[in-house]
Parts: sequence; C-alpha cells; structure tokens
Amino acid sequence: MHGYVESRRRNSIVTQVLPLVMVAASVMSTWWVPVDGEMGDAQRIVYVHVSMAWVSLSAFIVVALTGAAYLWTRKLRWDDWSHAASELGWLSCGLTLVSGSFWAHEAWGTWWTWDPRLTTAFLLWMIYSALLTLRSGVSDVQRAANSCAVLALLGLIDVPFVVMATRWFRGIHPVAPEMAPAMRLTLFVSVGAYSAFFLVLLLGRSAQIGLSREIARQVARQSEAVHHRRTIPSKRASL
Amino acid sequence: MSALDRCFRQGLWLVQKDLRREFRSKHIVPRMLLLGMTLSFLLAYQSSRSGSSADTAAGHCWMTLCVMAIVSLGSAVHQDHEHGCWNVLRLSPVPTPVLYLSKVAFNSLLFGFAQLVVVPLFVVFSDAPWHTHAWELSAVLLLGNLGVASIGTLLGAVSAATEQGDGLLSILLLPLLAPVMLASSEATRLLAENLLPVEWFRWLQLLGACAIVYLTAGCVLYDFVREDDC
Repeated sequence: MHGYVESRRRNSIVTQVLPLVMVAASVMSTWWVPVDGEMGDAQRIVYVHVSMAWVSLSAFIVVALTGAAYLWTRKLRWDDWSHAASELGWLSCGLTLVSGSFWAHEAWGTWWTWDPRLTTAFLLWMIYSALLTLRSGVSDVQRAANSCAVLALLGLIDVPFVVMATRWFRGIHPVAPEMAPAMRLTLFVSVGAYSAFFLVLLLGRSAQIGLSREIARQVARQSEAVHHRRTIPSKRASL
Repeated sequence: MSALDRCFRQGLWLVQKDLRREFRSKHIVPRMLLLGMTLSFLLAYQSSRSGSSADTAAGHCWMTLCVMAIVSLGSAVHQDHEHGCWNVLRLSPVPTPVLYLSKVAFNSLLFGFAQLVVVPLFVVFSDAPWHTHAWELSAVLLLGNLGVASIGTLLGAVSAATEQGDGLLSILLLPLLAPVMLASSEATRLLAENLLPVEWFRWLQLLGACAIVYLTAGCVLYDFVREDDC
C-alpha cells in the first residue's frame, strides 16, 4: 500500500509535466516540422513509429533486467515491474508494427515485406505475446514470476537482432537516414515524450499490480480466518 | 574418479534411462513419425500440384520437423512428470547442467531420428537435390538439431510448470525457435540452388550462434526451472 501511495505522489509531479511534453511533441510533428519532399505528410508517421519502437525495445530490456533481478532476489516487487513492462512493451511493439505498416504502404507500396527488421520486430511481438500467455497460464504468483523471468531472459536474445538487423542482413528498411535539423529535433522530442509516457505508465501499472496482489493476499487471509472461526465451534460441539 | 568423469557418467546414465523408457513405452517415436510422415506427404503433394515442389521443400521440411519436435518434446516432458519421476530427478544430487545436457542429448537423439526419416522423404517426394551436398546438409541438420533440442528442453520444463502443461509449449517455443527454423530452411534451400560458399555460410553461422547461445542460456537458467517446477 505504501508503495502505491508513494508512486501516486511521484506520478502527480510527472503527470503535470508530461501532458506539456506530449502536446509539444504532437504539435511539432504535426505542424512545425517541414513536409518531406518525397513522401509528403506520410513521413510524419516516423515520429510515432520510431518512438514506439524505442519504447518497445526499452521495455523488453526492462522486462529482462527486472526478471533477472527477481530470479536473483526472489522479491515479487521486481516481477511487478517485469509484468507491467511486458504489457506496455506488447502494446508499443504492436503499435510499432501497425504504424510501420502504414509507413511502408506509402514508401514501398506494400503493407508488409519480409525485411529482416520487420521480421525480427514481429518475432519480438510474438515473444511478448508468449510472455503474457505464459503469465496468464500460471495461477501461482511465484511460479509465474519464475517462468516469465526465464522466458524474458531468453527473449532478450532477439533485441540485438532487431537493432542490428539492417546492418547484419540485407534489407530495405532505412538505416539512420539523413534528416533536416528540424526533423531530427522533432524526432528527439517525440522519443523523449513517449519514453516519459512509458515511464509514467510503468510506475502506475507496476504499483497497481503490487496493490492487487496485496489485496488478493489480504482477502485470502481473511477468508481463511473466517473459515477457521466457523470450523472451530463445530469441532468443539462434536467433542 | 574425477568430477568431470562422474558428471559424464551421470549424464550418460540419465540418457540411457530415458532411452530405455522410450524403448519400453514407445510413447514418443511412433506418434512423432506418423505425424511427420503424414505432414511431409501432404505438404509435398500440395507443392507438386502448385509446381513449386523443390523450391518450397526446405521450408516445408523444417516446418514438419518443427511440428515433430513440439510433439516429441511435449511427450518427453509429460513422461518425465508421470509417476513423480521429475520430482526424484529434482531431488537427486545430479548437477543441474548435467541434468539439462542429458535431457538435451535425449531430445537431440529423438529429433535426429526424426530428421533421418523426414529429410529423405522430402528428397524423394519433392525431388530436392540436397543429397548432392551431403556434408553441408549434415552440418545444417546437426546445428539445427542442437538449436531445437537446447531451447526445446528448457521451454518444455517451463511449460510443464503451467496449468496447461505441454499445451502451452508450442506458443512459448515457436517465437524462440523461429531464428533456428529460418536459418535452417534458408541454408537447406541454398543447397539446392548451389549457392554454397558465402550466403550459405552466413546462415550456418547464425545457426551455430543460436545453438551456442541457447545451450549456454539453458545451462544457466535450467536451475531456476528445476527449482521451481513440480
């Protein structure tokens, strides 16, 4: 409970600043940044797409590191972070694929192609999905945390492949394209804004998961006490 | 007797135990082979109808092997958990890497047997000229086998800890098996196209890297699965 209150207090400061950053990023990417000569307005998808991709990769690193921390310490607080990051990572990875598909339709004339970056990003989304499925398939909290941590550490292998796919394999995905200074600035602001948004959601969700676990524990303890109170008089009566 | 020698003997004994159990029960191999043969027949037939038999044979062959591996790994895990065998193994003083590597060896033997049956079937059905590069094909099969067995053994134990059991195995396994499957099928396809040296060797390197990384990760992480599982 204490962690939740603390995170709410921390969030209240961040949530006052965050909307301003998000609005600034949206305004910059929608109106301020110059229109791309080749792709026109469709190029603006890049500011969302790259930011989402950055968040999804960072989220997986958080999932794996907090998973490793759980295996090391056996403290469920780490698993709450891992759980929250895997949910947010799944969402942002999915949005990366969708936004990338819209961009690809404008740039390459197809919704999907078997480019190495696209393929490895899709694999990452599948690993995220497997993580969430695994968690929902285990009712025992400790066991779910353990299994998910192992799977997250294995899945981390895919992250360098996603990052380096355009360099290690031949593909058509752009590798650090040349950008005008205004475009570069907008991209940095967007990445910063989305990262801050991810951080706020991560703090809130991990605290929420911890709280719901604590409530479940309290409810179980109370129902056990009630059951105990009911059974003892009946035993006494039978004696 | 040195520690290494003792570990080797323990591992060998565990592999022998699993093999002996399989010889007696015949739970895994018959159903795995039946499934593989049916799949290879259906896929090769469908490819021949669309006129792309040899081109798609490599992908179909590895897809069939992948399905066979999932069936075999699921059955192996299920058998381990039957009659409390896994609990005894957990309590035994065998070091975790030895236990893990012995399970990998057993699964690798089963998967190797599947490869021995299915690959010639695809050569015959699809008229794929892989046999002209027998050594190169052996290298691909060996590394692919190691990659599948190493990750499959670890995730088989993870899935056994869930309520759905081996029903969840395919969902956990396929995303992580994808690099091995893609590299294996590409390397096998290039054999038929005689594009050996550069391109083929890159896929083989990826296969080798996957096998090494998965084996190392398995040796480290199996301890947590062994400790947690029941």
